[in-house]
Amino acid sequence: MLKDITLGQYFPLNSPIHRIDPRMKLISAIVYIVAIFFAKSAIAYGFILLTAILLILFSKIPIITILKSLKPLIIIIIITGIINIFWYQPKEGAHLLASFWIINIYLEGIISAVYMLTRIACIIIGTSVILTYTTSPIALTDGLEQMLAPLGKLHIPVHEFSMMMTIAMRFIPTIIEETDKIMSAQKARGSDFSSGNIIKRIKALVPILIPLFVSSFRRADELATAMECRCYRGGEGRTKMIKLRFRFTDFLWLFMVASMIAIIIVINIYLPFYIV
Amino acid sequence: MTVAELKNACYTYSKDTPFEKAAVNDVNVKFEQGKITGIIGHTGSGKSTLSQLLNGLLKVSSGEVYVNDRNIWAEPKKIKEIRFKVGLVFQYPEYQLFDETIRKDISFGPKNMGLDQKEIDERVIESIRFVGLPEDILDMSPFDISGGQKRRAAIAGIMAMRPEILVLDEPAAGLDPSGKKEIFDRLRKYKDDTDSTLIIISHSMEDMAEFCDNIVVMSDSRVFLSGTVDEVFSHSKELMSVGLTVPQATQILMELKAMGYDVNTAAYTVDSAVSEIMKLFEGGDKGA
Repeated sequence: MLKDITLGQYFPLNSPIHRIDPRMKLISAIVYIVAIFFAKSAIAYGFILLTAILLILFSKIPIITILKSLKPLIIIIIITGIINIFWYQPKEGAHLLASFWIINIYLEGIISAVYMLTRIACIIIGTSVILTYTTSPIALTDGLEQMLAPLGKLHIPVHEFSMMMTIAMRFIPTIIEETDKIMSAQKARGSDFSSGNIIKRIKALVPILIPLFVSSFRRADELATAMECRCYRGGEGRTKMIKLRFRFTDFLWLFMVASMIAIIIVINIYLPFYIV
Repeated sequence: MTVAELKNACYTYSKDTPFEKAAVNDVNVKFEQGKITGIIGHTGSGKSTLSQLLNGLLKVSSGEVYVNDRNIWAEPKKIKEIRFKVGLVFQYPEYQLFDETIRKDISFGPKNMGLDQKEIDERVIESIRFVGLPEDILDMSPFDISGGQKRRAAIAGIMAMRPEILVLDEPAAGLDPSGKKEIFDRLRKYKDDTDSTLIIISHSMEDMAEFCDNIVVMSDSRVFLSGTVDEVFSHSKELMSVGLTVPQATQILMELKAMGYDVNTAAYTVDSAVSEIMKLFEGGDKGA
């Protein structure tokens, strides 16, 4: 069923990570990614893996859910790994493990592939735990809007963009549900989406897409009217029900993530194992 | 004679995830040929899921579904045939209209059945008459006609497949009383003329009491009560205990009974309630 697709699914729980200010989460997610790219030594990689695990534990999100979200990326991760092994440019003192025809496999190549995999996995886990799993889409756009608010001085319609984002995200589940319903209705009339050649299959989509567009337009129209009825006039002078305020813990959180960079640099210098 | 039957049917949404939910749980129902059966229940009681199990849009997690004494999942490749035999009209079917003209849209089902053009044209005309739309509407765009007409055109699209069993999910939702009556009258005529079977899903006790022969009451994913309309409405108290309302006529009679008048609370139509109350006046001395 279409409903089972996870779209950066928000996992409503009450964990320390859920409670962090969305603006701080956006900043810290960027800092976290930057920190990952600082890692050089094997121990530094071990350290970022540890932070990723700690993130999962603190967010209280079931590990199974996170592993499932990695599943569709497995092919990309594997291909990246293989490319890294074969395309490794040997430096001096590289250990040749095997060699056939023009392909040489070096120990360092394998290590750099492992590093690359760790990096990709940690980036995905880190950003999804910090942002998508623990922040509701509304809080995220709210945070984004407030961070970008200064751009409003340059006549960039920040509020309008964030309203558009919020509405778009709000309607993703609705539209998925609607697609499901229309598909079932057309299946009940004997349409077939899973057999025939490609042209036939594309043609079979017409009876879904047209009703879907029609109802989306209708819904947009109704929503616009409903918003006008409630005197929506754009962002000017509009106040928020929940005002975002930084608390001490938010700064502590950012400090912790930022200190990762320092720790990683120190590890790289004093514990330089297997740097490739 | 039984045309369709569910045996110990279960259906679970999002199986093996934290969102797992049984929508239909161990349901046993029989649908009789030539009868109108109403399925009543709250939102979320599993009645819509039940309808999709009947024509094979959803596959039972366990249990069996029989149509004409054939297990529909015995040959999963032939499930499309079942969908033509058991026509399912979804809630707000007007939202599924897509083609340039009503004619093409109604032809969609029959075309998928692989019928020839002559047969399709015949069926289009026949079904548009069943729903009571004028023939000159056939060449109009489905987006240019009124809401009620759209609804009927969409129902015609299913009727054109000449299903032996026609299942309708809230066919009268959002229609005014006269539109409602018109739809129900047309459906009954269709059933009589084609010797088919009707299954109507609704949460309106009033409509079902007027229109159906048999009623299945769903509550909490299970069949709570089933039987003829008389049988089901003689259990007014049980119906109210699961939060379903009984027809207003029955409610009045129940109130009268509570006040000490000797009335039969199994009456559910306005006419029969009136005659119950008239009896009180005729035998005036018996009353309190």
